[in-house]
Amino acid sequence: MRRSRTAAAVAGLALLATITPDAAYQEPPAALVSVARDDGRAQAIGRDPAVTWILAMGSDARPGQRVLRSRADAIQLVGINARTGHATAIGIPRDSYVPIPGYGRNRVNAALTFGGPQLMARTVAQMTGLRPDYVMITSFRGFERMVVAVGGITVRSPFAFEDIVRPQGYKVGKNRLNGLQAHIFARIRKPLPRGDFDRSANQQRAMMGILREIRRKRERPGFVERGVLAAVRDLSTDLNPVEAYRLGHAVAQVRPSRVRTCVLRGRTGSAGAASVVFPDIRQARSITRRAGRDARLEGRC
Amino acid sequence: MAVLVLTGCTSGSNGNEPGPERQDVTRGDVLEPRAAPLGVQIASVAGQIPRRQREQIRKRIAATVSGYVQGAFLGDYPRTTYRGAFGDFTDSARSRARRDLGLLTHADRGARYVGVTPRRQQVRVHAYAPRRRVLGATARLRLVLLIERDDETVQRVWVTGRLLLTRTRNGSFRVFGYDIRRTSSRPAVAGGGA
Repeated sequence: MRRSRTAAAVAGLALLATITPDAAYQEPPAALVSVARDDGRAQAIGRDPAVTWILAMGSDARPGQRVLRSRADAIQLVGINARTGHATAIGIPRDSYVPIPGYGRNRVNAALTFGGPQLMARTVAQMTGLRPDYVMITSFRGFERMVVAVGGITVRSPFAFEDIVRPQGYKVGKNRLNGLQAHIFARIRKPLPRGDFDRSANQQRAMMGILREIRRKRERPGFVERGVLAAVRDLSTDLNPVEAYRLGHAVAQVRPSRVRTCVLRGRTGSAGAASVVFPDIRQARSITRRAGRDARLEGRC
Repeated sequence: MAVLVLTGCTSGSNGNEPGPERQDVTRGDVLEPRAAPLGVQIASVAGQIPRRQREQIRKRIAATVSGYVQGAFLGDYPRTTYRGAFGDFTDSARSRARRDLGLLTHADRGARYVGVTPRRQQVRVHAYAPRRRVLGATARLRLVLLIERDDETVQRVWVTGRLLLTRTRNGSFRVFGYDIRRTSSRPAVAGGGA
């Protein structure tokens, strides 16, 4: 049980597929500075580059289906800065109607079905102006396991709604959730006033809940090691296991107080018979332009 | 006969650490304190590795940790150079460490030290071993250093925390991250402890 609780300590490492980083990073010149204090703490992860962008997706694949070629229900572009502990999450509505390279216009999540993680990354890069370093895909079952592994999560919900998996319902304010309840919280759409947009925000609240648990437990001996091992062993990934280990420690460096979350705005409409969202591309590019370099977003979403 | 003034923690010792300091001690009593050797132990392994690999890994990690501890805190004093402390750090981690030099080494005060004696050097390693190979590890340090200064005072300093390591192609380990705390009073074991 202890092993399973710590198993998925690293939230960003569920089902993984890598995309070669293409951003050139300039190491700043070293500075020799003494800290004239008797007591103190020095803490750093030497990642190069320090900022990593991950396209994190929740797949609606059923058992037996290929997660890497399914449709993504949750799409979040997440930047983390291992040096400063900042992070930015950009929620992309699932029904965003955008150009998919080589396939015309379609819902953004269709890119995963057409061309797997590589095409999905290219589609999001074209949409936002920022190419993710890694693509991460987890099934909702995998997401549940992740929540169970960290011992459950606490989310602050702005809405109250009912669901059979939670007899007491989801109330406005803090809710302590188990794996299945967290899954429903991140997936439910109909009771939310702004549908897909509010669902994306709830997904970010669930991610924050996982991060807070990781931060609380990250200094437990062996916690990160067990979490990263579970990620690279149990899940299909071609991420270099050494890089996965470093990335795991980088995720654990993120401070919840330095995380900023935004959901892309958009206009709902229809394309043919399909109900879609026309996302605000200018907003997407504005966010990535401001946060792309250091994963730190100042000002408005 | 000179009188040394000891500072630092004066109570709460357990059986594993040196006992409480005396406030006024003759130099002869503490001039030659016993130096504790570096003890490195594999505390846990996430994954499985062959038994014979365990000792090999322990030695390799010990070499990396020892290089840092020796270069940063031990060695001959007074001294002003700490060039060797980060020899086994990755380029990026070394660059970061140079900014934290005052906490990660004795750089800001070593010129005033006469000697540093390790009274405890305990390292517990938590290894990450996918595919039956140790590819990464967290080395949790707990050092107790007895520092003799040029004003004839002696201070006890605790250095605790973590070195984050990954394995290189030649099998050695390099430090890619650190979380090191230095205190002049005994730190809590939890968190940065070993």
